[in-house]
Amino acid sequence: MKANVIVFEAITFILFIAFYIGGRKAFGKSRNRAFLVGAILFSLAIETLTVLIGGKNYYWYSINSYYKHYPLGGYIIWLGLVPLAATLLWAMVAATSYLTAFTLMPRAKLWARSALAGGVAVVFQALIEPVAVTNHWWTWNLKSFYFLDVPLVALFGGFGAMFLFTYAFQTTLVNISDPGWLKKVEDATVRRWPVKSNKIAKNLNWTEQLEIFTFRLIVAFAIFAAYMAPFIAIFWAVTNRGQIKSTW
Amino acid sequence: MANKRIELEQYKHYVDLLEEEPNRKTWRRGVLISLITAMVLVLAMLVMGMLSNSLAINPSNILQKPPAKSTSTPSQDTAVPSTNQIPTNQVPTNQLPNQSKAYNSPLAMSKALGVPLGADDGALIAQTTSTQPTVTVPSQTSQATTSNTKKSTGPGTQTKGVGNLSNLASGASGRGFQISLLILSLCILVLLYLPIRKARLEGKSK
Repeated sequence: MKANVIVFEAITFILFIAFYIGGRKAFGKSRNRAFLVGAILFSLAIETLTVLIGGKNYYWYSINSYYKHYPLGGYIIWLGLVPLAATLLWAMVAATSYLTAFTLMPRAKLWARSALAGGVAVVFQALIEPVAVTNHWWTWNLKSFYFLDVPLVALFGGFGAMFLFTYAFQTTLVNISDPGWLKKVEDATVRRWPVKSNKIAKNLNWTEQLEIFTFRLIVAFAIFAAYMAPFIAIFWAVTNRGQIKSTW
Repeated sequence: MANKRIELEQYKHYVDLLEEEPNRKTWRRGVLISLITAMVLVLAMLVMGMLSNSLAINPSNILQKPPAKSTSTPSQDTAVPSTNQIPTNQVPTNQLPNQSKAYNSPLAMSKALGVPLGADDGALIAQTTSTQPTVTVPSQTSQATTSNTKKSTGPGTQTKGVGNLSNLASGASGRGFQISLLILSLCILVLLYLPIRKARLEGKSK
């Protein structure tokens, strides 16, 4: 038995079902669905951007002889440039990090719990990434400092993504609140359409809350891009591994 | 009455817990299911990492150019794949023997071709795409120098020092990667055990 893409994908799908059942009890039916769909879409956006800028690649090995004897190069379901299994894995790590942080520190401030969730995600990433790159589940292609062939930028990114996602989910669907700076942005945009309401978030119905959640994830994605830009720029200048050429 | 209200305000958290007790029970069960599943995920990653040790030791594995699709089929008489799977750190730089040669044992064939024993077709090890019966495999150092001169044929540079996974994997008699995964897995398992324990204690105290 080899730790190839098929094995990784099968394990991910099976464990995701268990996570869905557990999350349904922990979050509640609707919240769990919102959490998982939100996590999948958020990670999909980040992963797609990473692939588009040439920082990561899922299909170099899939389309070549490593996995060519598997259907679709190993990964069965693709969401554009990113395999579904990768986003499901991120959603599982997100759920684990969230539950760990909010069980261990139920009374801490939101930013502290979000930071703990980010830290847990980084530890998970430190375990998963070396196994992934070794078995060519994906290939990192960033010009960066590397630690065990995992770019440090990716570890910073893992922390930032989990922090922002946890913060957005918590402030929108759990402890519903309207941060002052965000309220102004929302009033000028999403509250004109499609929400069409100036009520505070707590008084909105579920559908409207989901729309606000979607908007806040978009804002979180923009903040994530702004947060990552300096890291990428700095590591681009001083690196210990170059970028794989496009003609490769 | 006013005092009672103040008291309730002060202990709002406990009031909320009492009101939400049935939900908390379900919540605890959900936390247990999710975190135990996460533990299974960690163990699965650990096992897959253990299986990948030979790949991790190979320094050119991670940045190796994937071979182009080959239409040739394996030789029928010797069952040797047309794309020889040759880890560069194990193969001498001399020419490989003719593929039609019969080998006495799988070990002999493994040594002669540089293919790890037990590796089957499609195994996740470094590959070359030559269809010639004789192949000259460059050593690791020569590959590193050629990668600088022929930039269009492969990754820019190799990772060095702590950045290179194979350095870790080669340490501790070739068990470095496995030991590091084991330590990391244990850390995560302990980290996941803490909220499980807390949720269980909360359940018992009710």
